[in-house]
Parts: sequence; C-alpha cells; structure tokens
Amino acid sequence: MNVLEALKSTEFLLSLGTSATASGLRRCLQRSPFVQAVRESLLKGEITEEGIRRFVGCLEREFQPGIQFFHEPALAALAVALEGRRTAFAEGYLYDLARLNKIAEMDLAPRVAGACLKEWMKLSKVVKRKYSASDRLREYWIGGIQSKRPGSGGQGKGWTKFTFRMTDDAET
Amino acid sequence: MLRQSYGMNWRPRKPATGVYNCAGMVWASRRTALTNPQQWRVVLQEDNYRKLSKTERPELGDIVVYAKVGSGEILHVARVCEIRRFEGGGMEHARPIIRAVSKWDAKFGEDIHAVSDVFLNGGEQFDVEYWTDRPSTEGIQ
Repeated sequence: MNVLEALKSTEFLLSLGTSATASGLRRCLQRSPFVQAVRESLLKGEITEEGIRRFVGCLEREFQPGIQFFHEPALAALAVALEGRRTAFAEGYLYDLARLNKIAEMDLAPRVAGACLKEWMKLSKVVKRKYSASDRLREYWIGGIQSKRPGSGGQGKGWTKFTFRMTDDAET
Repeated sequence: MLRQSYGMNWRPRKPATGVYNCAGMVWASRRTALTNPQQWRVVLQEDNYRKLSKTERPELGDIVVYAKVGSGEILHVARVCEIRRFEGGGMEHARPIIRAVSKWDAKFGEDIHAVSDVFLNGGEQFDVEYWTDRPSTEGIQ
C-alpha cells in the first residue's frame, strides 16, 4: 500500500488510540511508523510534494460541512511528516492547515499544524554550525533559507551578518 | 472498529460528537471544546480544586486527570461516575473499582470505563490523579 493511502487505513487510526490534546497527538504522530514511512519516502523521492498535494485534494473531496472530518488524523500526520522539510510547500501546507483552527469539523489537526509550524519557523531561522579552531576570524550569515544571503545573488531579506573570532571549539 | 480494538470493556453513553472535548464535558457543560491543556491546570487552580492525597478516596463527581509521566502535562480528563466497593468476605478494605465517563476525541462520544482502561496518544504512559472541589476531610474527626 502507498504510504499516503496508509494514512486512510484503519490500522493507522487504531495505532493512534484516543487523543484529547494537539500536543499529545503530535507526539504520537512523531513516533508513528506511518508518519516515519511518509518522511522516508519523501526523502527517497518515492513520493513527491505534488503527490501529497493531490492526495490532500482527494481527502478534501470527502469534506462535508457540519460533519466531523474523518480524515483529520491523516492531515495531522502529514503536518508532522512535513515539519522537518525546509520547503515552500511544507510551509504553505502547515500554514494553511493551522489557519483552520476555528472550524468545527476539525479540532486537533489545525492545532497540530500550528505546533509544527512553530517548530518549522524556529528551525528555518537558525542555522547551527559546529565551529572549529581553524575558523579563527570569519563572517557568518544567519537567517532564513527562503532567500539567498547578500552577496550570493539574493536580496538577503532577513539575514544578519556576524563576525566571529574563534579561540576554541564552540557551538552557536 | 476502534471500540472493538481498545474499548472492549467500555460502556457507550453517547454516540460520537465533535461539539465538545473531554475538558468541555467536565467544565463547560458539554457546550464547547476547551482545547488548551495548559488552561486546564489553570481551571483546576482557579476553581479551587484540590488533588486528593493517597489516603483519600475519590467520590462521584470528582475529576480524573491523566497526566503525562515526567512532565505532568495533562493528557485527558474524565469524571468519576461509578464506585464499586466490596462488601463482606473480608474485602472491605480492598480498593474500590472506580469507573469514569470520558469524552475521548471527535471519533468518539462518551464512554464509561475503568479508570485505567484507556489508550491515550498511541499508548503514552500516564499517571492518574484525582481532583475534587469537595473540602478536605483529612484531620476532621
């Protein structure tokens, strides 16, 4: 079975148990082998973001106003699977799903997406690097990955220049 | 299907509804969902609930709080709705069987279940706390 189709399966729903809070559901999904499979398939290129877009489109067709959306766990699972991807699609998906936090048909998935989006933004703003002693005096640019840094063809919006004089191994 | 898998011993009280969640059932008269678990702790404090000590026995209407092991984050809340005490046969001092009514999530309605008979967040470990708005009876003779 396709890793995306598996998110519609009874086995997937059964594996989640009951979740009363978005943070609990997110933790559960982070551990889920179903979500892990989606993540790995994306990394290996077995599925694409366009494939996810089409899959979500299919799920949306089953949305009925006034009735609890049956595929809500699948949407939440995709949010968790995309949380670690630094792509515009992942950002858009998380943002769009998080915006739905007022609709009655879904109660947890938008909140899961909101938590994932926070994590996504946190990670995309900070570039971590292990500095070595050989990096005695260097310039580093810290900023978002959505735009290129100044001097490399981009406008550099959101980037900040830091100059470090390193005396020993350190991590910022 | 979900009920057959991990709710075999649950007694359904009400069919699935998405209007309210567990905290909405306990504190908001089943009128709305209270979605932020951090606020649940605030409700417990501001509404003068107190945590039962190990020696106190829960009573009908008390609140069962399922807290994540380690962090204490609230995973779920339910209300005590049935207490079976053993009578006769030297079993008077045995711990009573306590059942609670829970509203799980949007896939479920309300179910009556033994307090430990739950499957939260795919099997997350939890501690059970009992909270009450009754005055303390400890020290009163």
